[in-house]
Amino acid sequence: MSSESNGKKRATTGFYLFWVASMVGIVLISILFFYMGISSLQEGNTTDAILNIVMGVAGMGIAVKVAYDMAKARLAYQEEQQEILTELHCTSCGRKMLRAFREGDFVGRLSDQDKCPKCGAPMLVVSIFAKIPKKAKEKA
Amino acid sequence: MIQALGMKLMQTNQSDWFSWIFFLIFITIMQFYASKLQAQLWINEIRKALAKLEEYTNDATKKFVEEASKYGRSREEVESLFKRIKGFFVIQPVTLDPFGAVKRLEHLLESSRDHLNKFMLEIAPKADEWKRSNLRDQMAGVLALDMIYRIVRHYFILGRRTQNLIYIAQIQMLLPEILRIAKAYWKAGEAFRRGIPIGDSIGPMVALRLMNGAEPREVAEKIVGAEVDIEGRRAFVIKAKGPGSEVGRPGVAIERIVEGREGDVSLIIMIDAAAKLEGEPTAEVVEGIGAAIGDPGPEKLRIEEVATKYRIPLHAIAIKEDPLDAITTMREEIARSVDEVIERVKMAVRSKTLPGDFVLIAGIGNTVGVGNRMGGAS
Repeated sequence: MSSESNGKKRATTGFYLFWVASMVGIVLISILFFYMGISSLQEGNTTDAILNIVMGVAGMGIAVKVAYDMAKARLAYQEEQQEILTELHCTSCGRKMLRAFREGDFVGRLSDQDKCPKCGAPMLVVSIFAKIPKKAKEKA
Repeated sequence: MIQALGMKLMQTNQSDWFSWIFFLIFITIMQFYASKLQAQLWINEIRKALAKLEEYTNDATKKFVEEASKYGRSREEVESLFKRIKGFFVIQPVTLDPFGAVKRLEHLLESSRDHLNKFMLEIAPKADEWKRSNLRDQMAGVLALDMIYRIVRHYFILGRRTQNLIYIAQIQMLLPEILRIAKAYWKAGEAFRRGIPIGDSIGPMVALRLMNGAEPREVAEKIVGAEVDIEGRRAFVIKAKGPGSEVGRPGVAIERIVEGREGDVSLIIMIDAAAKLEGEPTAEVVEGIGAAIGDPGPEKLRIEEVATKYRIPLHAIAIKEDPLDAITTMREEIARSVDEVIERVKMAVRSKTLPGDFVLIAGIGNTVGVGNRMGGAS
């Protein structure tokens, strides 16, 4: 079955590598701040300890946001996929069939190219629609 | 090593006089330049959106030129002709004196339709009527995209030149919605190019199913209809003439049929797609009273006038959908609502009329990808 990308450009590998590198960098710096915060706390320097722990938490927050943005960018591409389907009914036995949309299909058309797999009678186009993936539908 | 680095950082983190001076300078600068910085950030956002809009417009134009050049003209000729129609507009009639404003609007809409149809004959002389109407509406989408792009660019340039936060803010705040609309127009082009039903085609799709294979006849400009039996009543079902992209003149058709029967019509049922509110489910079928038609006015007025003249009840059945779904390829749940709508039509016919009565049923909307008779063409 054909699918449409609807022109949305897929992000390059370089783009993902950049985001992963940024995320790893931020996580490392955050851990360092945490470590410094805990060290300060043990030394009894509460002011520095609070500041460093807050910096560590903020850094972790930024890392989560970066990861979320990256996942969103990936999902945004996947959500654009949709299939255009043609639903046909057999004019004789009423059997239903779904196939990918073909140029020239329209609702009400008696299709000579599609024969009922059960009785061989011509099939009638009863509907044409876009099937949107479940995840994208839920989001919408 | 990490511990040593940590100690070093802790030492440099002390609040000395230098940090305080730096902090005060920063606050002073931000006091004066915060709005400029904000404006610059928004301008950058608009610039990005503008690039996206340009991409949509160029892509839609390219696809239109490619498609139109298959029907009797070279790419260069189509491009040159398309440049001529770019920026096409219809000036709304004056409403300072409201008398006859709808008649004047109707005339302008007719002229605009004729203009575009003649233009399509020029740009794609070898295309059949069906393809020409699809091309016309594909082009209408490109023109709408071009207009959106021009408006956003106008505010972008104006905002950048004047650094006026009001100009910039009003366009920046609308950007997500503008991009959503632009994307819908861009996607709509594909549906019209391939002749796929759009969300708005649900009315004609229901009408076609109600016609149940009966032979249709043209009852008004680009409107076909057929008489069928529904629940023991004589029902005349009308829809726009497909399967090309047409909405026809349903107002004229209803007026003509009702006047032709001297008002002997027990009920008018209108089926159309309606804009859903956020939170409402897509393809929800709802009923109401009135003329269910989303035209700028003339068709609705005709229907309301003739129904009022003969005291004919107007029953409306609406299929709720996002306004942007209405112009893009029909979603599965909308297509699946046909059976429920037919059941609602039958219920309305049973409850509001008597056996033997004459009922008029109109499937309103764009009939792209929807034929005129079930099993009528192969």
